[in-house]
Amino acid sequence: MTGEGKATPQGVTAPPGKGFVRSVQESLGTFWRVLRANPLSFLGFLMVAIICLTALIIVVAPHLLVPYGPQVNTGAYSKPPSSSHLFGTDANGFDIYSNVMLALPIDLGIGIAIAGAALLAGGALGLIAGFYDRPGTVGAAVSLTIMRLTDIFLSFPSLILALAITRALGIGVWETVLAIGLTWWPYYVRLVRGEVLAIKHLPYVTAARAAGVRENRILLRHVVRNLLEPIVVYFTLDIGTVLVTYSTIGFIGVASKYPGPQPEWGAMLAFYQSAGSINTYPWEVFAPGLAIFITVLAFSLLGDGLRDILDPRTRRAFVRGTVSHDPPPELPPLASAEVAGAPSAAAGPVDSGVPT
Amino acid sequence: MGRSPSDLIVFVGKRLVQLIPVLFGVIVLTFFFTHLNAGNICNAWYPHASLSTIKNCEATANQPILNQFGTYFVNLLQGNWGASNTGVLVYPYIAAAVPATLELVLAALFLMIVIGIPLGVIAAQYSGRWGDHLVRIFYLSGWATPTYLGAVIAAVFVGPYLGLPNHGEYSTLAPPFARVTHMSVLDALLAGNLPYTIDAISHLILPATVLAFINMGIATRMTRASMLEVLPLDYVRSARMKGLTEFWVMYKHALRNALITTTTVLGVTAGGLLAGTVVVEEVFDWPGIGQYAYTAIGGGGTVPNYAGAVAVVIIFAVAVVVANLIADILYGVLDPRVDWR
Amino acid sequence: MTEPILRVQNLSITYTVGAGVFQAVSDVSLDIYPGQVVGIVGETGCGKSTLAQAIPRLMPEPPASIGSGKIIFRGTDLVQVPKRKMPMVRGTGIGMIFQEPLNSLNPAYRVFDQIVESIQIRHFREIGVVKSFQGGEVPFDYSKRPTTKVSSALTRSVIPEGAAEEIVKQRIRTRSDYRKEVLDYLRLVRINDPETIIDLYPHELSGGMRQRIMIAMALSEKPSLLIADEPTSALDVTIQAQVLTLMKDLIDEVDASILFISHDLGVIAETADEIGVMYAGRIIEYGPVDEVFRSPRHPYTKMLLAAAPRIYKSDGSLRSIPGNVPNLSRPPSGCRFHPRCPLARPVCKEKTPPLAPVTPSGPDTPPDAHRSACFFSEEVPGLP
Repeated sequence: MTGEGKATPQGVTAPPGKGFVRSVQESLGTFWRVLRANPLSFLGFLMVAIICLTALIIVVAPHLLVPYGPQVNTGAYSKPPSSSHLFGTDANGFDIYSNVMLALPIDLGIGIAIAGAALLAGGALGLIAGFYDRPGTVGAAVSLTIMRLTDIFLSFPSLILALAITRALGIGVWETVLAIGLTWWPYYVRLVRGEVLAIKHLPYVTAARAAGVRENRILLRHVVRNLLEPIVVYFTLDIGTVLVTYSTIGFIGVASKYPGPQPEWGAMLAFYQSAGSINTYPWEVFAPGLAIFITVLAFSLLGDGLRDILDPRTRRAFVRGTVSHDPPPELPPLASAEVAGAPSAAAGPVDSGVPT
Repeated sequence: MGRSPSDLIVFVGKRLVQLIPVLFGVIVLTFFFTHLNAGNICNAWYPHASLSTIKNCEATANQPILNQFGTYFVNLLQGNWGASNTGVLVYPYIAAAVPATLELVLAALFLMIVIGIPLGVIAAQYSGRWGDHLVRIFYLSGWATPTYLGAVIAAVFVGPYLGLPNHGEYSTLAPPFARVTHMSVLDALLAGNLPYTIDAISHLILPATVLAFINMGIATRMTRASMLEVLPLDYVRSARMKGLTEFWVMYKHALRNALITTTTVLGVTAGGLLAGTVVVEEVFDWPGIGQYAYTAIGGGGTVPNYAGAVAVVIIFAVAVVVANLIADILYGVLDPRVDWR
Repeated sequence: MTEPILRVQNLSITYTVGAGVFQAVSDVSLDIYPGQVVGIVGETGCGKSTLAQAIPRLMPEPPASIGSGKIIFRGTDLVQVPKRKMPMVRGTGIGMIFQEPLNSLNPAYRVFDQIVESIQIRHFREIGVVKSFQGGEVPFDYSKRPTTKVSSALTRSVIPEGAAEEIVKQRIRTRSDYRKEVLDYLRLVRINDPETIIDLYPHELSGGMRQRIMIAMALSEKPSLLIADEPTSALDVTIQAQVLTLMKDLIDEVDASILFISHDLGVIAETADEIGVMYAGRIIEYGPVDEVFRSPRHPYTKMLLAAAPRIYKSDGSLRSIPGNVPNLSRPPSGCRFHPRCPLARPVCKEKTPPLAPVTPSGPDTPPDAHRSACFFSEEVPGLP
């Protein structure tokens, strides 16, 4: 879910006249400062980095981190966590730690894929809806349709709608991905369209239009620049939420089968929970649950910390270019007070941001 | 100013009217998605052999899609919501299940307001310092916990440890009084049965807490953000200067204004709560539409209940729309600058 | 000699912000006697608002901190009072009205509710329900006027004449009980149509109206010291004149001391008895308002007054004070004005001039003697 249901952007405006690359660099710099300022965000950043790195290693060189295959009978049945089996084993002798680790790239990849697809689809629709809304044109009708559709889609709780769609599409990883993606795009439509509309009415856009520059070109450049920050924030947060949704659907049993060649955390949880042996073998349930919790927490810490960048109040502390303080040069005493052109007595404030 | 009681009626009325196209769109969309590969829709709705002769089922089998939608719509309005494989009619079951979920959701909302909002105030007061960080960790943990994980841990470990029941609405399967409203605590109260009331409340605690904990983040975050906007404003200083203690300055003056924007997330919160009930009710064996949805969708390997699934999706969407309506109205009431005309 | 209501002794306040440590107020001393109106004037950035908000300890204590000094209000040093006890002093002890009426009233409550809140606070403190801070036990008759007129609100005591015990202890009054009192206060601040105004929300009122309501709110608590922090600065000139007239009338009627902060020389000249001129966190001149304006004894004051444009004669180009206000995280050594001062000598850079009486009169210096923080104050009248 993107943000708190607001349709309007948070007032993020990149200053006119700056090149695109410069803006990106500035935004990256701002992101970095936000991260460093808040210990929790930095923690989230570290956790995300570690998780992504681990996923990469598991894909490329699984033998480094994963001792057993997913369905390999290790001969140890239902053993609690120990030094040889970090998360214990289940009734079939499968090493739970290996299954959890093997599920990491898939779950992470799914989260990113769904959020990314929603972003692209929603963003594209949002751009269209924002650009073509001059009343009386075909574009306006299209925009209206898009927005009505978005409103209706947003009326369904995402999980429920996704579940309903999977009912129609059937069980399977790709079907579930499609289903969740179909429920997620509306949030991005609102975000992007809001930003387009906000920029459309800015004075310098009107001025550029009057000067003859083609409207769409200006809009696109400025929109993309301004959207960079909110999109990064919401995308990060969405990865976590989408992941939770996917594994919840997995838990309900309509995503993928476990045990199977490709483990997935939600399916693992469903399997072990329904086995009815939680009281005797609690580690079976804890392991995948903990994995999800930590992953989502990492992305949430990161995203929530980055969200401070959007709040105009806290922005000022991080954006470079706020008032820096240089001491005024010391002037030698003058014989007469009359100096033409010097700053007047009644004005002459030096804004240090400190109330006086 | 357009804020008299009669203006309020206009205000609410306008929004109710705006509801209708959205609700209609919801129904159309549900129809579209669920009938994608349903084949003979009528058989899907009434799979049990003995029921398929109800309501001109044969006749609709091969009709064009628009006619099928028409029949579907009419049936919806008339309360013919189909039946499950075993012949259990959908509508009467849901009519009994909705209040139970409503009770659960209201209890969770209560907890979210009573705990989540003060936490947001504290986070704003100690912004940037440890109080803020602790609150953040708390609500992000809730956000990061998948519903089933939280529900399972609460039910299997926390519940027995604290002595709280984790199963059903009452300790006995059928309470000794009539289920008038199907809301467990209310029914017991209406029957004047005190031990059962307490029993009902104790059964409500765990599932409501799980729901609240997971969804608290939105309310807390929003409260914190709008408090941070309000606190630097001059009237907070004026309130302090009157001689009010910090507590009253925060809650009577600052929060009163901060809450205005917090109501806007009520719709989102409702959506999250409802989605959560699917799993929570299943784990805690709470007889609401969440549990019904779980089995209808085919959770845990049960046979999918087609008609039930469709009904549940529509109800959830309607609930979210209504929640948004309430949020909208609440906003208009709380913010004195909104003109009701 | 009566005791001063407020005695500020060598107060220093610093702000610690990311960019550095700012010495907002340095070694300021001030006395305010009962019934006096003291004005503080200075440019933006001189520390006057910081001083005003420090007296009732209104600033958030990080980043602000009181480095040293005392703020003695009716015998108690407020610097020593723990912050959570300060609400007892505020309102009925020290009241304050602010600059920006737009945001100074709570937009969610009607005028009635906001004034009633002030009245209730005072009410509860007077009958002892809530602990309050009163410097003396002398019953406080707020009004200077013996007659009962519009301002009867100020003389009316909580306890009616000849009332029975039960009424005295009555804590719960109904809405209609309060309504009459609120209307009286609205009339006190010269609002013509109080019956209508009383039910309105702040966003439905004009700036001048809001400022009057703020004044009413402050006065309804009958503070012994009222601090007015630039109350007219955000109003346009015509409204400013109205509110100023109101304040001058109230000053005659009300038995409170007033600390009036402004950057507008004209406003201060009209309302204050004594005036202090602040520059870069220090009071550099102090004295009766007529004396200071007619014969200023500090170069800064002189140049400030000279910079004011006069309509009635054309002197040529506008005069201004060269240079910039100093950065308070690295203030100039010695006298802070020396970089811009025509009278500056080497000693000005080395030693800080104390705020000393212009005409030395030994140990019997009256508190309202004209003082200046300049080593060469006798040369000031000779400046152009």
